[in-house]
Amino acid sequence: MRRLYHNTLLLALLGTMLLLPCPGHGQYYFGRNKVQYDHFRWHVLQTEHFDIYFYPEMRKLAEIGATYAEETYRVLEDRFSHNIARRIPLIFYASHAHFQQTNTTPYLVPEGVGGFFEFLKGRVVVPANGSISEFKHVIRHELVHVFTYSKLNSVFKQRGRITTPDLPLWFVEGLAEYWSSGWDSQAEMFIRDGVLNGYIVPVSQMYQIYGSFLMYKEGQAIIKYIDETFGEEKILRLIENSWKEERFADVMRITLGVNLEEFDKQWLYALKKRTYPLLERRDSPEMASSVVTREGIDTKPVFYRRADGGYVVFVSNRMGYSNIYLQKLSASKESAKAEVLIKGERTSEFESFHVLQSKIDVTPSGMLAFVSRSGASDVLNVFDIEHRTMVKQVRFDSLVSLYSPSWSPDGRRLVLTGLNFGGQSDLYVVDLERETAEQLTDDLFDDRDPAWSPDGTVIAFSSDRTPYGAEGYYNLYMVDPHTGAVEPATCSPHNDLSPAWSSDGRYLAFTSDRDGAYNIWMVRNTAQGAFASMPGAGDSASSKRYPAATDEMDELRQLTFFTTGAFDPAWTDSDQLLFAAFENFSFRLRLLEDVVKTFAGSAIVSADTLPCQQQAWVTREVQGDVFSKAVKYRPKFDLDVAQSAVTQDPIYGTSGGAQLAITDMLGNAQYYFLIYNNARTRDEFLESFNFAVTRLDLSHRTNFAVGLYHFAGRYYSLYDFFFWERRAGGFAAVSYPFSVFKRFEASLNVRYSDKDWYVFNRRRQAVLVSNIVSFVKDNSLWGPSGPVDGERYNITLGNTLDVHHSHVNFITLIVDYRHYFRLSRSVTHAVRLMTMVNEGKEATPFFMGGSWDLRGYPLWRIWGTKLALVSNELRLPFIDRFFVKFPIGGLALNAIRGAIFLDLGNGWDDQFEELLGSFGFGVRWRIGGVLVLRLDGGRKFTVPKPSRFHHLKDIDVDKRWFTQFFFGWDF
Amino acid sequence: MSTSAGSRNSSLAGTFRLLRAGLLAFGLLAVFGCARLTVPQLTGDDAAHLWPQFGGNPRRSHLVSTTLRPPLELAWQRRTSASVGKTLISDGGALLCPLRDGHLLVVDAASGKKIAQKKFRPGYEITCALHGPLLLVVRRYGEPSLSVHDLRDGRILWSAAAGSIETEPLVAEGRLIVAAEEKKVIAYELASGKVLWSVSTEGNLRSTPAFADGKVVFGSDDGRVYAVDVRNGQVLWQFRTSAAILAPAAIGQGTVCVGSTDRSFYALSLDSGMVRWVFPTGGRIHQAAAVADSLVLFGSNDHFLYCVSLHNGRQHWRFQAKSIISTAPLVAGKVVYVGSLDKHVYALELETGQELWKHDTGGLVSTVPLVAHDRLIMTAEGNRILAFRVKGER
Repeated sequence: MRRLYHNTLLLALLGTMLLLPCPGHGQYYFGRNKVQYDHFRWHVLQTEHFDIYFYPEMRKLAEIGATYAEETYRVLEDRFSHNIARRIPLIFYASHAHFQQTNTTPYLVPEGVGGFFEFLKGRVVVPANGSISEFKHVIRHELVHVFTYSKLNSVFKQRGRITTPDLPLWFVEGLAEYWSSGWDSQAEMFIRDGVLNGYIVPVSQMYQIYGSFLMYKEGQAIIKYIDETFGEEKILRLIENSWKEERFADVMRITLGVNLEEFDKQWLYALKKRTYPLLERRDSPEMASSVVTREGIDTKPVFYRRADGGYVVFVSNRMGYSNIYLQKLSASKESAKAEVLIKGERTSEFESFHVLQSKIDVTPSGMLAFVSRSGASDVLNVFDIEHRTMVKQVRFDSLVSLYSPSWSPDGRRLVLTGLNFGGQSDLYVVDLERETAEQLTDDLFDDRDPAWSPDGTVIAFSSDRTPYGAEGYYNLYMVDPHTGAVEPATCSPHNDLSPAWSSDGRYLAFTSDRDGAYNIWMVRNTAQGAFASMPGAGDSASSKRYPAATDEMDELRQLTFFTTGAFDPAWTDSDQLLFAAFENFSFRLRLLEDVVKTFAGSAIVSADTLPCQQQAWVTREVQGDVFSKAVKYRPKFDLDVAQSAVTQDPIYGTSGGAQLAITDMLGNAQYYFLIYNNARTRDEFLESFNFAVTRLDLSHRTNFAVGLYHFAGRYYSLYDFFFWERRAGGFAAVSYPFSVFKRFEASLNVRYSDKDWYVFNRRRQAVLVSNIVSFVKDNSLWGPSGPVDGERYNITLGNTLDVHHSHVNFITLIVDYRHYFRLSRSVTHAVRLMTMVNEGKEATPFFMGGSWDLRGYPLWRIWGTKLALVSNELRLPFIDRFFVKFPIGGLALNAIRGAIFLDLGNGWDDQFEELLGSFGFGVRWRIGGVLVLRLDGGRKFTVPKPSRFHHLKDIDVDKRWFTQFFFGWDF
Repeated sequence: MSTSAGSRNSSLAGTFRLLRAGLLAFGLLAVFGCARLTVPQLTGDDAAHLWPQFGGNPRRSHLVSTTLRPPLELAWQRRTSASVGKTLISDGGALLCPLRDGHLLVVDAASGKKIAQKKFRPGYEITCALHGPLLLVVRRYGEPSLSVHDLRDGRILWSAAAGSIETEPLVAEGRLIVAAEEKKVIAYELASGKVLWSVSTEGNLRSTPAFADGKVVFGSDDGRVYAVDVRNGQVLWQFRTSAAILAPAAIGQGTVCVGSTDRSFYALSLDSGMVRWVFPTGGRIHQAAAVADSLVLFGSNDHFLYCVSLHNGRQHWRFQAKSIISTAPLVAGKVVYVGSLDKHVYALELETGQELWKHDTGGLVSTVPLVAHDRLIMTAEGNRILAFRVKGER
């Protein structure tokens, strides 16, 4: 079990449970921005099988990654009995903050994504984030994907098949996880929880949880079962046999010798048989601790005493966005109402709290310390709980990411984990007054979760610097804040995480997977105020200062015996421990009473006796000075997408064309080509050659686009009717993101326009210059069919002018504001206020009508050079889950949403005449994450005198009901 | 090229081979639906150039006496509709290429010209063997998985449903023996198709059986090596390794040679199944061995081709490719040919392992090289068959 991995996957869980990625970003009307905060000096190193892309600051990590990639290649080559016939591009980032700036994918990269393999260029993109073992794990995980994909292709290519079908996602991800990390405490936790709470889905019904985090974990468990029951060779055999049958269920049948129904039966039975006996000596957290919180994913608790009682401060995403909450510890079984202290993920100040990675801390006087992502790097925040004011915000130039601040007893300093630009994770002591960070440790080991002892003499932390760290295990260490001397406290091939001192400093609680699941363990020092150092450290007994589980004077005992997991213990001042318990596929806060008494009654567990004083593990590096051969990255372009089409239209005749996209390996420079011909006669062939070339530069914070185009042909619009137009020109555009949420855009478009309204026998020529500027904000949070929280707006100003003939001259104003009021976890009131104005000579009209704006009216049949629209929509759940089972598989209809709507608006040129509107109810069904089907029904109405809108009797309601079916996201 | 015969004899042999190739072609045309022809016995006395089944003979020794001394040059190449499976078959003149899309392509080994082609429906991967005038076709999937065709008149003599067969057929003692994936080895009377015996194993079968001294030897996914009596299928002995055995067995001088996915190569007594020696490697072993006199050669997924003493397992030499050794080695006189997933076919000195020649095929190599009609025949990813001749010779 690797801790960072734990966090990464849990973040993924968090993402899949509550959030959906915002589909848009900078280049669209709305959308968040992928900000290029840093300029990376990319270099390329060629190893035997890989082209390694890295920047000099992370050279050490790149060496480790390159060496491990080659080692992994040999392992997977043997396992798959396969060789990859091409060089594999492996792109490294030193931190997740850097990774989120990658242009190798057009999508925003959420915190939960640990790396990816993309098919277009066969790129593997992997960030480090402090933990070398996690870095290695992700490299191997992604390389398993590379081998799986290549092996599968080879199987089909050898048989002369042109297309290669996809393997089921549960198999692909389960295999990647199982062959990269095997089986660990985290996987065990999820599967135990699933079995005990009855939500494990059999393979035959995997469609119900397609793409979810649970599906990934189940996939891992299924591959493990195949390995242990049918033999490891059968795993590869499933890929090799995939050509024999079209359905993977049949491939399983011929490979494993059992049909899917029987397989499911056997697998589920094996899980139960293995899990149920655990209840004999373990309990679910719910049955063995007191409830503190009941909703959302609640983590990182810390106790705070106020005059009216004890409180818990914690991080939660219970309403979608992550916030920091304050909640009174209630003696009753009902948990008290939680108050939001800090709203997160809405502003550039608090883009993220690193929910499952970073702890928070509070002084007795109510100073809350927490870190947040803010722009290019993290910020340390100190917030006065009593006065609800931000006291201090500190950013450190050399540190990209910060985690888990812990107060010194005097409240003047903090210790935290910092990740530098090169990806090295160390402990730092922050002097708040001077706003400086002094480095306490300095090596490639991952130092996490520091906790300052109550007497201020020592800092406990978790680190992978034991000899077991090479395998990804974390143990507890002590560091002297004055000298930086580091001593081991525990040493075992397990994970000891999140140490927490009791107020008297005699006890150190932590979470550990020593018994196969994450439980709370505790060390007691029998010598008051003076803990012992590790035996064999060479220290005399008199110099013993730190707790050590191995010391005969100290005691290591298991405090909880949960079936699933307990994390982040935090002491109250009343012999209690707060902690986050994993249960029923979520994290809730719980309270453990009478801790010392429980400790006294618990059996002493054998002490660690392993030689942690021996030299810590050393990472292997590339043999020889191959890095001196690394060369500066020079963009080389190759084809990403090429497609062509020929269309036949009864009015416009035949047209054909093609489009190409060419990008470089890092995706920083992108070229798009479009070419088509829509000539109706041979004579028109040359003049109907249409093309567009666009170059997009995403390498800097300011994104640039330039392009040239020529479009000519016959067109039709409801406004202009039939016309012919030639437009030839060029454009340049810039986009500057202020933050993830806000950006400024500007564009200049110069073109020659020759327009012939041949039906009306009118023609004009013009040289048009358009200048447009926009300001865009989007911090919306998305649900299954559209935004459910936050706000977004687009304010656009522009003018279009004929600089040659003055035939055209108009200004443009667009204001589109949308706000989403979260009424409850699943109900949102969405409001849209929009107006669009083109005013002047030959002003272009806007169009409206249909499912996307003014519902009930024909699609785009309302137009005018001016538009106004007000939409109100109550978004609520309709059908959460609905399964349809067919003889050959099934279909899961998840999260079908309902909407009650009221729309008002119209389009006009000179005189606003009447207000059109509609109201009704609709349902939305998202298919596969990309398409939302929409069905609306209701009544239309007209307000002939808009000024009398509030008089119901002046509203003409159409007596007929309308129904309208279309596709698209909610506004 | 160096052979034991003089140039005149070579010329005669060549004529004879062409004649046989022609006869084979007629027979195959008959099989493939043309008018029936009566074809005399195809396989003559020129045993050195016969390669009627995987490994060249029932012992799977992968041994030919002809030496093609490198350097070699490309004689011809041709594209196929799919890649060739694990083996090529030759009677010395014609080359039978069972393809992974169900086609059987027959080409002239000397020129590469197509002689015939037939698709065995429904188009699943096939493999085959020759026994005199009989063509034995095995389908990897779909039924009937086994059919025997008489090349003299084109008749299907018999067919059988044995389930998926991932191994190569064994012809020995008038029997056709197949190891079916579904844990069963079945012996058929070659002439009639009558099932003589069958024996079950605990694991699936993907290890091609070998035969010598009345014993059929094969490995299984259950990690065991089995020896059964060819007469009645009685299990004579078993030997257990610690992982599945996917590699075909080979037999030489009373010793069974077989690699395991437990990364070790085993030499067992053919009589008793007792271990003679074990040779550990750094990778899984998926490929068959070649046995040449007192030497055994085998490749491993650790990139090495090992040459060890058949008697004591002591390493003579080893050769490292850039990727997995992906074919059984072919010992052709004093030269060893072997293919690798690094896209190369290598020619090595049998005595020393010294690299004599290599050729970049441009794709992964997974079919055992073959010598036919003084050509070194190999296949490569991208559905290509390549034939090489000694440089300067025609």
